[in-house]
Amino acid sequence: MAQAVAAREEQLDRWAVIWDWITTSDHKKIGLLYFWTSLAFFFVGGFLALGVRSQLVVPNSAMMSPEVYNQFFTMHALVMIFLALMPMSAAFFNFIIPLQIGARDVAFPRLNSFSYWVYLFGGLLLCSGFLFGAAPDIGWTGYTSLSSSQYTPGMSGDFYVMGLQVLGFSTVAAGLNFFVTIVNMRAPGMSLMRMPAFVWMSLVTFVLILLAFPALAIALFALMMDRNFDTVFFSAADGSVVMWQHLFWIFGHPEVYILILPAFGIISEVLPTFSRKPLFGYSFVVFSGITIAFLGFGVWVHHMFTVGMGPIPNMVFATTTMLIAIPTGVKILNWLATLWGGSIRLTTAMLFAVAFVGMFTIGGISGVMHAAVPIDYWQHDTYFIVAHLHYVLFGGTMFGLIAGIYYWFPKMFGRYMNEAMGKWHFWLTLIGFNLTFFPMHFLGVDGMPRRIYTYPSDFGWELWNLVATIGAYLLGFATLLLVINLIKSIRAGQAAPNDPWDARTLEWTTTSPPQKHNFDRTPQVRARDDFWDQKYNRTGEDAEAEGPEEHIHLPPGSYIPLLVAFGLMLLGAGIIFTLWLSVIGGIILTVGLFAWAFEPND
Amino acid sequence: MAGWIRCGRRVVLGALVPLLALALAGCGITGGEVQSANETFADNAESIWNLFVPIFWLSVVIFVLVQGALIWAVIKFRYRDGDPPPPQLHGNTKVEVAWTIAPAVILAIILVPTITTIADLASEPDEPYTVDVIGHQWWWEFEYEDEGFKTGNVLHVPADQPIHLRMTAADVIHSFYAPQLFGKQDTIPGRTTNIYFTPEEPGEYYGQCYEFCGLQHANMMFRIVVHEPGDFEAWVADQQDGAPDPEPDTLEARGKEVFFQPGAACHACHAIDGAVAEDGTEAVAEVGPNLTNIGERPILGAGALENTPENLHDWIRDPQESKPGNEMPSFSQDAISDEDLEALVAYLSSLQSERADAD
Repeated sequence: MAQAVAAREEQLDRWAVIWDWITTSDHKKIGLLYFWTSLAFFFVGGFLALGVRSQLVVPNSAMMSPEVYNQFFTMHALVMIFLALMPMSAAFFNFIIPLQIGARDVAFPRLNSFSYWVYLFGGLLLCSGFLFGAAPDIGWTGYTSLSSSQYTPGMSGDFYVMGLQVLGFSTVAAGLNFFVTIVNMRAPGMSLMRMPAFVWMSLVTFVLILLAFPALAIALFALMMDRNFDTVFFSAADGSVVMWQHLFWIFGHPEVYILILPAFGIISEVLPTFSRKPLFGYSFVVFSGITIAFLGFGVWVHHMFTVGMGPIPNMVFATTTMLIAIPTGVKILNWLATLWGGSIRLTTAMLFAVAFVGMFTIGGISGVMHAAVPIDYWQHDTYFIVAHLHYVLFGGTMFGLIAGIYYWFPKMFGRYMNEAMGKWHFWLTLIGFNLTFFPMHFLGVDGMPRRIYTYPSDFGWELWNLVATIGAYLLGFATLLLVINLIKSIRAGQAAPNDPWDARTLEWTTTSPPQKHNFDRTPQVRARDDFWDQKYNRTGEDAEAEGPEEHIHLPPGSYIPLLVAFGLMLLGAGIIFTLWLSVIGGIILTVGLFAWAFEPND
Repeated sequence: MAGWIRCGRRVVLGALVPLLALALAGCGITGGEVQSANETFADNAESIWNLFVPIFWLSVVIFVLVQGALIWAVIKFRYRDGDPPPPQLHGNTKVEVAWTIAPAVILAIILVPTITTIADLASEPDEPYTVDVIGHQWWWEFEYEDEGFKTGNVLHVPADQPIHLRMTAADVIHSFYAPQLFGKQDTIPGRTTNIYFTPEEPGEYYGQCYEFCGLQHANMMFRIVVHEPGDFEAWVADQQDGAPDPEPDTLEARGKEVFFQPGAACHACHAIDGAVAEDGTEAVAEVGPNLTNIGERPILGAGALENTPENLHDWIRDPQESKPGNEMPSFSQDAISDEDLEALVAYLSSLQSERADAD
């Protein structure tokens, strides 16, 4: 009897914990939700990638039908970009930015929770195409007129359109939220030019999100109308087939920087910490980031050099594309100079950050090659581009994010990750990554097109495809090590102090993991790298000066953001299945928004 | 700490050696294949490769400098136990300005030949020989408008003559690219794009669609046959004459009947110039590729199969086997009996130009 009561109480307790996570508006918990969800989607995307590589390991492979293969490569890109890389950046935005600027939470905690739930529901909506055998199979770029209802009838195209449309709400809401947070909620004394580099690069990312995602939303909306309500925005006869590409890449190129800038920020924290030196040329790194964002809106045509716009547009966009290499080069040289003369500790986080500089440089160099338009007439849509984009997005973004995981793990979970296993993870990743993607340059020289499900045996493509597939499996194995390390370290890792790395920024001043209200007293910032300044440059009374005691207000949790997010997802799902779902979703959304507006907040 | 030192050495071995080995192996084994961009047989492709080579070597220099500096820094400036924090150097404006200008200069140097090459490739040559290219899901149609005939998946052009490919698409966007002859341009429904090139050497060249165009994007290949100029005129005359009519009472003649008979009804989708059934029906449909002189084409189903009688047999029996999703239906025994199919294959294989040397 007593046992049964205890069991029920325990169960009740468990429900309370789950309810707490569902309704949380704490930026740290939302950050962890983003972290685990994006990691799960990263494995989905990785599984799809291994499917693609398995199909291509030999010529004339019959493992997959063309339909399944096309779904695999399309979903690999969509999952990795929208459900793994961006949300893993969001995990760090959530967990780290408020801590780095000395804030107690984000500007709009419930909107933050809404962003996460829209991400989760939108991601599940996008992936649920597989359940109906109708996952998107039109490439992540969704070019018209292939994506029209005439050439891609049925649900697969609608999963693409509505999945991305719903996800866009999450991204824009998060972008807005964090933009306001950084602008308004910095601790006293933290002027813009005292902000940590990660906060700066994130701020630039949010500006890009707010300006670029509307272009995608408009394009998706028009495509949805074309597919479902017989409008002719992208019709060859009455509209423009190429207009989709313009809209898509006006979003799509800034999107590349949305993916890479947070990683720039992360390694701009990791390199100085483990070199025990400040970031070299801080203001140049900041302003080159801003320049990249600005120029990023003026280079979209370099994805379209072969659509035949004529020589003048191609010359102009070749020029702007080469221009953008300048601030990028400046950043790389500043990172090198940060290492130079430092006192370098090669922790796993540092190894990934250093490898980021090397690998991203390769992606940058090949990027300059196809900025030279005639070379793009060759490399466009060959495996050379596949190599290039993975050096940027995996060798760049993913290496940066992994560095972030090893770097901030002690702060997030209060324990160290296992360094020995981390080193194994690093070396296997570095070797597997290069084995997978470097040979793709050679396949590009030999003229192998991307997105083909099979290839003949007499084109000379067998060897490098085999090597790439071996590399991909090695990479997959290495990533398993990361997860094992994460789980083992959370359970039984060595306890980490508040400042395990002798780091430089404010998040290391609070407990590991941080207490619910982050800081007992609001930090008073007096320098860039304020924490380092506290530790090494201030003495006595000076060092102890902190903000006054204050009343700490933390907003309560709320289930309403989840409800609104669910309504929004249903609204989108209705376009795919039956419009009645949209009606129900619309009602939930409307009621939810009213409830949100009038919910008491104390 | 000794561990850090060992680790620093491992950085060099771990990062540089596999990459260098891979790069060297790649340079040795890559290139010279049927679709490699580094062996060029026309002015257009050659100017692309000539632009690439100096940029490539410049890239190698930058690659070695950056990776070298990176690895050197990691080894030289490693932490030893008890080291005090190094000088907190925040930056140096002169250095920053220098390394902002340096890449700008390098890029300006690259930009000049880039722009001139763009202009070169876009300028229409004098008196080009024009062929229309139309992309279909999933095959290529080539129309010789002035000469009044069409062909499918194999483009014939004369050597030493500027060629103008005037391109569009019938359904979705495709991209036309033969790496050894010219750079790619997309073919777009409702729009016209152009490629200009002058083939320099007779021969057979490979190409395929490079813009993802749906289910069978992989099997949308084509060949370009470059003829000696005189030989090309003979080939054109052959096409204008239409397909040769088989001798009466041969297997081929029976095959021609099968082509038109209800079970097969090939003429419902395909044209064969000059082929007329006994009841006067002509083969002029344009749903699928024009089959005039199909016997001389090296590929079937836009590259799904090599063109041999056995493959042609299998292809007609079940085109969905080797190219699932294409528009051609399968033909069961009920539609075309084994004997009829043998005759049909014999007929189609016999359709070859008489005057031109097919290679």
